[in-house]
Amino acid sequence: MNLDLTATTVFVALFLLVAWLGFFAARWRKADLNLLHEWGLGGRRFGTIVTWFLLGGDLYTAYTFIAVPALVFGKGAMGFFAVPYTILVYPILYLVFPRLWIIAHERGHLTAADFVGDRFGSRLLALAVAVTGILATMPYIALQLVGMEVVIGALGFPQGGLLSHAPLIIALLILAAFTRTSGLRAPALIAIVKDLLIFITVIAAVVVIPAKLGGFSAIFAAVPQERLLLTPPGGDSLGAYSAYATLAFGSALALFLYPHSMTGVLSSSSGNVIRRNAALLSAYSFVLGLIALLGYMALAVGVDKDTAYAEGFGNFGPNFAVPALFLASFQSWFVGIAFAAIAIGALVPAAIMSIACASLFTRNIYRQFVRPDCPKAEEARIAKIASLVVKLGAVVFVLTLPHVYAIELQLLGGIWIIQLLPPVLLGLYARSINAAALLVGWAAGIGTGTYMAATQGLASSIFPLAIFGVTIPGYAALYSVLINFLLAMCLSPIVDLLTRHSATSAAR
Amino acid sequence: MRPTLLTQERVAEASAEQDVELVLLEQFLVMPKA
Repeated sequence: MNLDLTATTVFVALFLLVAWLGFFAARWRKADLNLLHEWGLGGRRFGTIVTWFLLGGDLYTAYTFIAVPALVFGKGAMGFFAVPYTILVYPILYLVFPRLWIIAHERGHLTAADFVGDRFGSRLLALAVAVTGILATMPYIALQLVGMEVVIGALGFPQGGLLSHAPLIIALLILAAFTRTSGLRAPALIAIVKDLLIFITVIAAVVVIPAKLGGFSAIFAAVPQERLLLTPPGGDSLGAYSAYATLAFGSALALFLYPHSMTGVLSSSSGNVIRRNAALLSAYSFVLGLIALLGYMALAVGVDKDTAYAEGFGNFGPNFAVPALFLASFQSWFVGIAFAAIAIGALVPAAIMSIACASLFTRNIYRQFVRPDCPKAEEARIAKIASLVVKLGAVVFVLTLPHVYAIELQLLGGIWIIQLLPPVLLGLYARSINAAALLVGWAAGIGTGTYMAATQGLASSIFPLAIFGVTIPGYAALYSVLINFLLAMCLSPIVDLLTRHSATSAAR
Repeated sequence: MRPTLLTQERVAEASAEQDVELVLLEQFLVMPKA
């Protein structure tokens, strides 16, 4: 593939614009960025509109734009699980998170681990929450870079060799610099540009491409029947139906437990801002449905059979479907806009994720276990260094290891992060739960979930659970968090009783 | 006295502000630290 100069020029120009915005953000709603809650949470001052853009930019990532259509392109209807997933997530956001916001605001919590540690009086449980959050998020950052690499490759930059990595490394250095200078204000401001570009790209794609192909009916007619619908279950297995439903529900339960979602939620200025966003963010789910359709459009165009894109598919697999579709359907200047939208769509979540990991490290590991009396300025300084280390780790990971590792680890990340549901949910709704019981539940959930994924060779998170002769293939995260919940709930009164008993014995 | 989510002053403030949600949370949750 030759370098597409027009597309690259538009791409670089838009990238420079957002880089400038990233640095400018330090002056937006000016405050002392040497305080962690200012640097990492934007001073908790974001109103409904900024939070809408921030959360939209945070949750609908570059990898979403690449991977969801790629899944529809490669596997068919199963890829549409992303739509019910992002619909189910908002009632959860509406009900649960304003409550968390109020407590976090009152008690000065900056992370989920702060809340859990304070609520249950357990540093160990808080550590478990922090480590889970960091481990689940790091591969997620790596996947954003994979998304960025795919579009950089599609612009025609030579693949292979050190030089081919230069654009990604430059992009990452810019990201690191503005994150350090402006903190969460940078992705909040950039998210506005990113979303405008994404909306323009998606609307253009769903109007122009079907018009070229003879309408949606022609597109659906070109898609093989078995990819249009889920395969109906046969015999004594619930097949793709239970897999689809549990994947959507489990993913919805997990989404707002990710540190970057939590950062987005906690940076809002009130519980009502979160409630309004729970209603307004559905607009993105609608767009996500359209984005998923791009997978079918790529099938209808037959991009995988076009020799011009053989190299791209060879390098990136089905993830190349969307870039190839854009290259086949649009003029170069618009390809530049579309690819910039995806690359900027990687910058926003990558920045928020690295800030969130840095806050977790600083608040719940460094401050708790290394320097309990560290002054506030040091807290912010350590967070800025940690955020840099996290990003560098992600780029080294992407450049030195096969992409499949990042995908496998992200899959495990989803299973791990959902294990925070019992401590967070029970912390908000149950009057008294024992921290040790929650810790045992967490360990059991992580263990069984990882085991379930391992039995599938880490290639899928769908575990075929066999009960009474019926196989229910389902999302391992959902199965394992059920075990976690049950253990925590059952063990809590027992541990309480034992501790009370031993305390009484000691008193005698 | 049981440990609380809010300080006594903040409880009074929350009642005065008619911040029902906060007052309810205060009555409901048992925090380990004051």
